[in-house]
Amino acid sequence: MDFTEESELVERARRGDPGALAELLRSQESRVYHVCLRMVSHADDAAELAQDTLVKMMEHLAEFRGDAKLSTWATRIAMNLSISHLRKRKPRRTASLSQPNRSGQAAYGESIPGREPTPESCVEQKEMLDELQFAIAQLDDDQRAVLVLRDLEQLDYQTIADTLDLPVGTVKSRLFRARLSLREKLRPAPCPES
Amino acid sequence: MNDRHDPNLILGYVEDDLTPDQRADFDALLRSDHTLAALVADLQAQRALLRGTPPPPPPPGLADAATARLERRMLLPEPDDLPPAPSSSRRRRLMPLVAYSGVAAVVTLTAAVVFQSLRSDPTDPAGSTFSRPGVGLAQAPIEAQRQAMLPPRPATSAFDQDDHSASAAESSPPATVDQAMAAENLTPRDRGAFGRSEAESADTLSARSEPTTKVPVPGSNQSLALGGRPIRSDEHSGGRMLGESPTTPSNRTGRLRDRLAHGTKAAETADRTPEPEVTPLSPQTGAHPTAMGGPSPPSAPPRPLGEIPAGASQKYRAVQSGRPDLRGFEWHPRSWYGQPADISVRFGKRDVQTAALQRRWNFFEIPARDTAASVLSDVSSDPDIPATDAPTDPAETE
Repeated sequence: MDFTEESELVERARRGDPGALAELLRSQESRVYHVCLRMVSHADDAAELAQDTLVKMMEHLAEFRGDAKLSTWATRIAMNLSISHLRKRKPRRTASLSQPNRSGQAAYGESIPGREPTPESCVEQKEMLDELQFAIAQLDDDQRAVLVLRDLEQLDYQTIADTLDLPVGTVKSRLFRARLSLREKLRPAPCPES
Repeated sequence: MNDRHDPNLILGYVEDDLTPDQRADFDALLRSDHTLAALVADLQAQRALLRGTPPPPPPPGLADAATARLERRMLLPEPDDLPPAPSSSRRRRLMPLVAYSGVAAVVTLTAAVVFQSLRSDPTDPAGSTFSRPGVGLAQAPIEAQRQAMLPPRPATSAFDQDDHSASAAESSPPATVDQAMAAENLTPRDRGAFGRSEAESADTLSARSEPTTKVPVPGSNQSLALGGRPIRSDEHSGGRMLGESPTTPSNRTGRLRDRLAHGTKAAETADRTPEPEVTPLSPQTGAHPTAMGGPSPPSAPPRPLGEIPAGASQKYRAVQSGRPDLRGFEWHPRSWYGQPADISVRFGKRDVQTAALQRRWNFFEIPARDTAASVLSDVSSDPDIPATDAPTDPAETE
């Protein structure tokens, strides 16, 4: 959906077209859910936060100016709600990337496209994804937000800056620190003999 | 490592944002610095791994659920929109106030009830202090006694009819002494004590022209004209002392005598038009005079207004037997242990709405439309009043 189509859809939804509103929500639900899940690492919490994000979008659709893309606006709402949720939630829970989640969906690592996986490679990949998700969950909220938007949502710097309302330079520096922190967390512990 | 190199350059190389010249220079740097090369390789692998992670599918119906939730919120307030319920601390603050208010209400109500009960309502015979059994004027509250000490209202001329008829209807006396004795379950000894009193009935009263004692009437220029016959020690036999068993022979004799006298009197006072025959005297207050010869008891009633030293028992019996139009009559049997009895007459302004004269130990309720002075003078002139008393009971005099 390009920017023009998105703008038309938003305008129709503002005029009260339920079909346009439903299509608008369906176009954003996947991204919103992804962001929430990467941020909170919990499927049920992510679904709840995604629903809250969509409701907020419908409630404040009249306030959407259209300066940025609707996806950026939706991601920003989802990110703010996720960060608020993380700040309220003291004991952090992490979702396994290799184990099926509660909704019966496949584990995240099972649907990685690519070569025909061998059993050994599947096990290694699952372990790696679990470690990666655990390491991401241990990052600071600011670093995790930038990393999620950059690597998992694959947004450019400017969109991330618009989403998080940060300068581009701040986004880059946070991203670099987030990558270094993630590397340190993923590095295996040194052997005692060595 | 990264402190010695530009982070933006490293990040740009990992993110593949460098220009070809910058990338060539950084490749040369990586060949000379293996540590930096290892870092960049880890970052590139990490980025590839993160970007290679497939996005999980969202739960089905997420958008529809959000739409339904929005519609529900438009119709019904969500828990966040509801007004906050009173907190437990607020309830804890209110509970003592409620408890104290309840206690204060109970105390106030109790005080009001007690105060109301202490106040004698003269218009209510059931709740009157004077009409309560066993409560005399001396035992009444101070306020009630003060009210009783006030001057009486002027007597009305047509007061007798209603009271007499009510009295006659209420108390139907026995026809004969035997019937009365049987009704009262008396012994022949009691009959002997009573018989003489019955024999000396009304027709002998006038023959006993005993000296008259004048009793001042407070608040008026009248005094009581009382008989002068000395009071015997058994003149209280018509009454019952506090603590005395109502089933003793002396009491039964007194009650029987009262009933007989009442019957005799009730039959003849209907067409009687009494006019008190009084002599003005100055009000007398204080203790009983020494004419009675008996010392005043320590618990004497306050301010006795007069006494009947002689022949009072007859009048007393007459009063209690057939005069429902009396206002108040208090008798203090101070001669219970051999001393002459005194009869103090009190006048009260309070109305005692009793149809018949009722005895309350040593107090007799009297309707309000008469004064004790006129009653006693009427009794003095009534030829049907018994003139003699019951014989002395040795057990009582002792």
